[in-house]
Amino acid sequence: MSIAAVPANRGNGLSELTVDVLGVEVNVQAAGAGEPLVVLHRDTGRTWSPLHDALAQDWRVIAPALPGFHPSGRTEWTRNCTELAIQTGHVLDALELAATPIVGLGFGGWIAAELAVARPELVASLVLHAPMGLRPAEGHYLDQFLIAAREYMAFGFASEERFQAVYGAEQDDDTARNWDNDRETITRLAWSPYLYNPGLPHMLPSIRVPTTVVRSQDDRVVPSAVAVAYQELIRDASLYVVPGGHRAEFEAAAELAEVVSRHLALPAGVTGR
Amino acid sequence: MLIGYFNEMPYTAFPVGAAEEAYPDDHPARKPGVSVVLLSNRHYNAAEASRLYNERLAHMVLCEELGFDIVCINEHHNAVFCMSSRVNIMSTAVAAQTSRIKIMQIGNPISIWENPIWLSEEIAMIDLISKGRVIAGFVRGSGQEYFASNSNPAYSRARFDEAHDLMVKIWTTPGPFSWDGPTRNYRVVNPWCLPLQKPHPRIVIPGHLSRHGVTFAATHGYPYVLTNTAIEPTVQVWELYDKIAREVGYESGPQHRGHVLRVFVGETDEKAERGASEFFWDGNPAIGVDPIHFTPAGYSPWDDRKGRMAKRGATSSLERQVADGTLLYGTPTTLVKQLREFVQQVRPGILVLETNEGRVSYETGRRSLELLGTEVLPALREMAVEFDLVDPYQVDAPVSVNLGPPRLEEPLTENLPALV
Repeated sequence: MSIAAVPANRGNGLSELTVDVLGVEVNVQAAGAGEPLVVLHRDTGRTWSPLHDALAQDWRVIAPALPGFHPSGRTEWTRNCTELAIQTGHVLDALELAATPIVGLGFGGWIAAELAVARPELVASLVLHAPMGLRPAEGHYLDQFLIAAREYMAFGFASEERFQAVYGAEQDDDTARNWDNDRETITRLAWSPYLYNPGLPHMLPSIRVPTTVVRSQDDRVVPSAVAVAYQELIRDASLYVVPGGHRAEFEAAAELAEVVSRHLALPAGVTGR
Repeated sequence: MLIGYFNEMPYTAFPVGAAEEAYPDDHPARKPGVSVVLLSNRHYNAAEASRLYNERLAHMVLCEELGFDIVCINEHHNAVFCMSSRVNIMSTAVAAQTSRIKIMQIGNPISIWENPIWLSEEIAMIDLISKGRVIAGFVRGSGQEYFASNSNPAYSRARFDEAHDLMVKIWTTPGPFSWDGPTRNYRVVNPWCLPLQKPHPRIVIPGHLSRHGVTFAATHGYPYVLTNTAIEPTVQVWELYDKIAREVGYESGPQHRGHVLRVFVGETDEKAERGASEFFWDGNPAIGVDPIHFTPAGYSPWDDRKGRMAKRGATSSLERQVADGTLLYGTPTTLVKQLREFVQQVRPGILVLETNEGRVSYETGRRSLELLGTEVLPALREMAVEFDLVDPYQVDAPVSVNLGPPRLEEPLTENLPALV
């Protein structure tokens, strides 16, 4: 079914639908009008954010919860992120999307990059914020499995206040269950090697679409060396820095939206295309 | 009834309460009190460890002299609370120094060890060297073992099931054959190392309220061996086991029920209490594992795990364990009375007495075992007869629902070359 055809059915203009993707149910949120723009979420799950709202001013923002992440279903056959990227291609096929710009956040940036390698016809351009997926030349990914889920969430923010504003003083049982579901998916896909694909450096040079890489100034989750490596490995890629922590969609939404807009050669604030 | 001895073999050459301290070399994720996975092994003194290994081994050998039926050996990693880093190695050490006592492994973490073929060979070697005395316990391994080994906890159940199936096939089907399963692939399965006990050594499933474990055990007709479990949940486990047994089509009984029970016996009440207190020797949760590591995501369903997450920071104590029936202690007379109540409620056919934990010295431990052997074991044997608490050997139970009881393979009498 075409994502563009689904009308808004929530007061805030946010649509939600479930599509069957080769036997797994995938939940998709969408907002805005205009050309489609896909946003792929972080390892911490699909969370609508101020960034999504800002981008929805100019684009039809499409945010699937990838298979394995709440509230979408999970498949047993997906054992690594290359397979998840191919499955993401199936999701975009089911939404009848052709070449579309993709914004990948963190883990979503890794999936976006692998998607661009495996299914180049689906990707018009890439913005990768603090992407995972490469072995850091310096530093380490923060090991989420050694700490509690809430602790890992908090590390994503440079500001404790902003973290509390998004997630509250404590999480209820449903939220804890959903976090655990997503954590299990990361366990299944990226336990070891942790959050990287040893072969990816050799695949990235095949990407031919315009690519912007972004990192956050105070990212405590992903080492800065990873964004630098992505920029070096993808032809003609640019590298920008935004303030705040890993969760730039909350901590630097305006700045990141502007980077996306500039990348897509559309001034911020102009609606429609 | 099979009466056994178990000791966790803690690394007690470590100052009490030291796990609460912060060290400059600490991993940033290590919380106060955690002494498993992330406490630096710079605190490990090999000379002390060597002494402790040999003292505990001597106690196990003593158990054979005292008339225990089984000695139990387990396996943990990256852990102050347990020095037995490889169950098969400790089992072999015991096998080489004993001749009658059975060696019950509680157990091999078959989800984690990469190669079930080589694992089957190790267990077979223990069986051959011990002349048919191994009882092969299979476990998934506690959550923290997945951090110690980097095995993926999300595939733990699938890996357990497949490793079990492959080992049973190795022991019951001649090779060579190939194996392509969901978690393992082998082009040639043909080990020239097979156990003495046919069709295979008894398999038991040690665990602690694991739904997967109880179901697996009951479905196969393997004894389930509960560890350190309170009376009420124990009774519930056996109700579930019995229900599954009825559905599978066999009658379950004490021969399917194992229980590892914490005890300490002393000549006086004071000595007994002092020895029992040593179960909490490190002053903390008895095993110092961060619940985040004990139950990683994917290891089991959220509803089975969330309760343990909530218990982060909770501690146990002598009083609490006495109250919930997971620790019995006293003079021989007192302990016998407590054990009588316990076995009437729980009805185990395999009763393992865990004792001499913590900093109990070699001499005190020796004395305690002697008291157990001379004054408690005879009473337990009488209770077993009185309450009909039969073990698998007494009723010649099959090794599983699909196979018969174990027998030792006979030597060849024909077609051998003449000895020179």
